[in-house]
Amino acid sequence: MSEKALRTPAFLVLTALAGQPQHGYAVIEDVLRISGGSVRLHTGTLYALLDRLREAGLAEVDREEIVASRLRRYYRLTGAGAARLSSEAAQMQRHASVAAGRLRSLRSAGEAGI
Amino acid sequence: MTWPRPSRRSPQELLERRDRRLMACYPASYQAANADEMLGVALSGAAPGQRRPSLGEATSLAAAGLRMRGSALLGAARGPAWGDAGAAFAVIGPVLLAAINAERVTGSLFASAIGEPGQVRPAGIVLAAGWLLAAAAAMLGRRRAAAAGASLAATGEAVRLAARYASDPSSLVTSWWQLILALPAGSAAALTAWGFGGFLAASPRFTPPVMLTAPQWAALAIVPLLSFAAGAAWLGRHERTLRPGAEGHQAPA
Repeated sequence: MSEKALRTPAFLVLTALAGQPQHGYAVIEDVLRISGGSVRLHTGTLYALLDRLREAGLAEVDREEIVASRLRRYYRLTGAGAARLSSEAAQMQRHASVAAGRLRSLRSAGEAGI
Repeated sequence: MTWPRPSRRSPQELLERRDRRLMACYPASYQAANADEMLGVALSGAAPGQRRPSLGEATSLAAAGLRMRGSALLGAARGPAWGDAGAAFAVIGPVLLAAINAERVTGSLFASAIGEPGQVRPAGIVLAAGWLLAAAAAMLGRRRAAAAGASLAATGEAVRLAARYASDPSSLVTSWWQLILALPAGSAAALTAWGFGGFLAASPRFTPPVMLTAPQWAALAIVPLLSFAAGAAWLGRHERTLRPGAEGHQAPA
């Protein structure tokens, strides 16, 4: 994955994996929880994301289990993934604080004008 | 009155069967490595009693699978097999075409020398020289020069064929293979024998001669391209079998 800003689903998958190694369906549920119910990943989308994150070295397979005679893979964040998530989160935080600051001054200017 | 036969499959089995069908959108190597795991995820997300995947789930699997197949095709088109096939073709094609033109020129020189009707066409000499130069440039690795030379000579061949088509349409078919040397010998023979057998037999007997039909033009254009693609794909597959482990999805850590 290039150094372009991560799209929301990729960011959320990395965030989910930052908690603990998780299998595919647990990632879907975690992303739904983190996003407050607004991002529900479908299976095809999740695996396309996981493939890209693995190719970029941001995520990797942690372990495999057989559950009900079906393969279950757990994924984890790599060191590079943690660094990338950290820089993306810091960037988003900067943007968010600027936005919040400007909204505050907009509101106080509005109140002063009344 | 007939009643619909009740399905013996459970909703879970039906859903799994449908999800499995959707997995067929993915390339075989990807399915082998991931289908089982992905089916587990898709089934975990299903509601109790659900018999078919939701529209979003089905779309995501089909779209991701087809996208992967598409990029695999694009990757193959950029892969070394195509480069190798192109490099080989860039030398063999021009050499053969130079030889054909040279044979044509020497044949007509010989005919005029022994007093038989025959005309030495300067176009043949120019084309032979052009193809030889293109082959030499390709062998020396001068790709642009080879491409330019071959393009010019190919244009010359096309013009020559087009000029002859008006008076002798069958010559276009009998000479077409010279422009499409990538065509494997078998399909070239099949094309000429089956696709154009009637045309070759009938065309010279009529004045004005019988012209090619649209499907025949299409076959002339498409078959060489398909054959070249099939050759490159075969070369790529052959090379992968020589390097075990080169194909397939990334092995889990």
